[in-house]
Amino acid sequence: MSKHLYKYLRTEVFPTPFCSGCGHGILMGAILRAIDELGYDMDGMLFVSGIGCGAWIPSPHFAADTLHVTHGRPVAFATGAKLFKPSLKVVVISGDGDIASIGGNHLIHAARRDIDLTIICANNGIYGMTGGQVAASTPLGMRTSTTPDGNRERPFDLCKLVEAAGGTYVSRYSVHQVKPLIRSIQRGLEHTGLSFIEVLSPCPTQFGRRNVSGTAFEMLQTLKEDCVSRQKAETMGSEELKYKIVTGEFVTS
Amino acid sequence: MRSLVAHIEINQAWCKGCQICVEICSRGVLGYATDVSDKGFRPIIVEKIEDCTGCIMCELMCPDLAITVEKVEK
Amino acid sequence: MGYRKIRGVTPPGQYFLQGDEACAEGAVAAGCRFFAGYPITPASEVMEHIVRRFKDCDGVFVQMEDEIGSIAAMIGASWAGAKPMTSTSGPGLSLMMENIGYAAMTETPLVIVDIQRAGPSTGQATRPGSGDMLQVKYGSHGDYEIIALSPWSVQEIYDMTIRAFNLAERFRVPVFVLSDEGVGHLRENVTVEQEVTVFERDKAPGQPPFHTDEPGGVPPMPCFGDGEKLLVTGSTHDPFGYRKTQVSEVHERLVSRLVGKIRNRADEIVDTDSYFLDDGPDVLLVAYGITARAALSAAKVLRDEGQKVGLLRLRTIWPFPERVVVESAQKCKEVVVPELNQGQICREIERLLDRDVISLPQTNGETMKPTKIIEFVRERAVTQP
Repeated sequence: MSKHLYKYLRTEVFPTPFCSGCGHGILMGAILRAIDELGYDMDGMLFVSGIGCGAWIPSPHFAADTLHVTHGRPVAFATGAKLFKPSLKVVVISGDGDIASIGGNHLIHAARRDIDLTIICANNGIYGMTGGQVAASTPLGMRTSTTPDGNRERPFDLCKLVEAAGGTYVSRYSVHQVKPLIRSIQRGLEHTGLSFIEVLSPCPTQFGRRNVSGTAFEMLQTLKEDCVSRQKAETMGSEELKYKIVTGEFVTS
Repeated sequence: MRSLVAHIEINQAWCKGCQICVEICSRGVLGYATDVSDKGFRPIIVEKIEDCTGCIMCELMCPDLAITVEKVEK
Repeated sequence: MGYRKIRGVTPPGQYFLQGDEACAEGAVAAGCRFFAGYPITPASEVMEHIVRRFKDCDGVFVQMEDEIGSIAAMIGASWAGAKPMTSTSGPGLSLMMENIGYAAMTETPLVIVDIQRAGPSTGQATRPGSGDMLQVKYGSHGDYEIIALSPWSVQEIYDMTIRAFNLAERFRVPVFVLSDEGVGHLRENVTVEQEVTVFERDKAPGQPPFHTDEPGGVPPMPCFGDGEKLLVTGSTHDPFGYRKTQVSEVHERLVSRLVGKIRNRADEIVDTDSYFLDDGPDVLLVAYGITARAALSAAKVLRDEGQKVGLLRLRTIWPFPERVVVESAQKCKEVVVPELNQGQICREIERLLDRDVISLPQTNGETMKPTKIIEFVRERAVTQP
């Protein structure tokens, strides 16, 4: 990472605790680049995260105010901080289990309120930290430690969920699309109202080795094959799209 | 020999050897050291800096924020 | 920083208020400018009244999606500089438990008003109870300490709510106004003074927010947005908030301080009131909340009949008034604890005294009548030699 970005880090806590090849580190870099390019002062920012690997992206790595809270509740904590001190730029960064499963109610209500938060959901499709259990975002058929014969429950489409609940900026990118991802994070941060960015982030350790591949690069390649842009998806049939992940901006109002 | 476009620095203390950088580089600029390090993998090294275009994809995609690409001032 | 006198936002004078409303008035007087809540009987009036009062003083109100969200929002607001409050009752309190532990661990000042109703579960939503006496202290996992105050009148819920905010700020701890439906829905006169004593946080820039060299001390509390780059976490943390989840000594030191800062200063916090204890009564009634009113009436009647009955009223429940209870009970033949549960505080007293303590429980969803206590004591007096 460029040395001029080190000022955003607590470098003394590095290396990160993430497994080798974890997509969360790529996302961490993307967030900091987005902030740097926007010229934000980190002293005016608050990063709120819950429990899980994704929650460790800001806490303790970011040299800013960080609030590392209970499992599933970062959006609610962030709501209180933002409402009382609107001058704070409040960003929630946490995993799919945290934001979309145990904390799903707070997510949809934040979207309904259209409160001025940016929520970045690091979605690895699995409970990584606790040992690879099935998540509300695990694709159909995938093997996890609690679905050894394959997941039989449909996953949430988080972007559709937030859109339906009233989010006013909604996008999805994979970490392999790092440049569009940085741009989208910038748009989310600049957006007034609830912005939600779902970021597909490979977990080689818990997800990859049971399903795709244990190497990080092969997982990125698989993601690349599975993702289609929103524009291309509009030309495809539903059968064709069945196992695809649509990426891009879905709401930009 | 054409002049260098960029310098690449690898922070070995932060690197976990995931190899994304080696694989993602279309020019094969990065490679592996011969010996396995204390961490249990062959450290990433800069093999062909003269082929680097300074696209910084390795830096952007490094999950450990361990790669710094610096463009050479012309 | 520390204690100072400010001019109250409510004009001084006499007001005829409901307990829940007086609680909201006390909050506003103490400087509460953030309230996150969720509707629940019999506590909703606190929320409704504070919404009205916040219009006059630029307070921030949010009705959250549930009580988990309410306390989460309060903690976020507290670190952003607010003096936050919520009001709830048993079912909502149960939902808050995990984040109460988080607030204790992160030393976040906040005030939770619990207008107790008859539980367990949904129980009798509109009727009084005192079933949460132990839950507020022990409901979240792990070892921690909180403060809980118990008012018996509308005036006292006003005064105690102000004190609750001061204690929360002074000790950086969740403080409960542990009331009940009886007081919450009672209407009485309240005197509002011109001046209010409030405690303001010491921000102390650059100081560690989670450590002090003073044994069992309370560190200063900076807030978000001041450039302090705060690390706040519910995980075991060092003086500057860095997670240290694998270091035994850090955990031991942290938990000991969280507990010690309250236990070691119990004398500063504990507050009781006594009636007819000077002549060394034979029967000591120990009571709190709405039940203490019945106990006082009973004591008066019994004394008129010639029985030596005294009353110790617990205004603080947690930390438990151990010293006062032991001293007051020393010369009494009997200790009787009337309460709207199956003997929660009675057991706590029994733990302290090396003798039997008589529980007078009532869990029928009604406030206790003085006659119940009078008849019980008469019966004991007749049967006991």
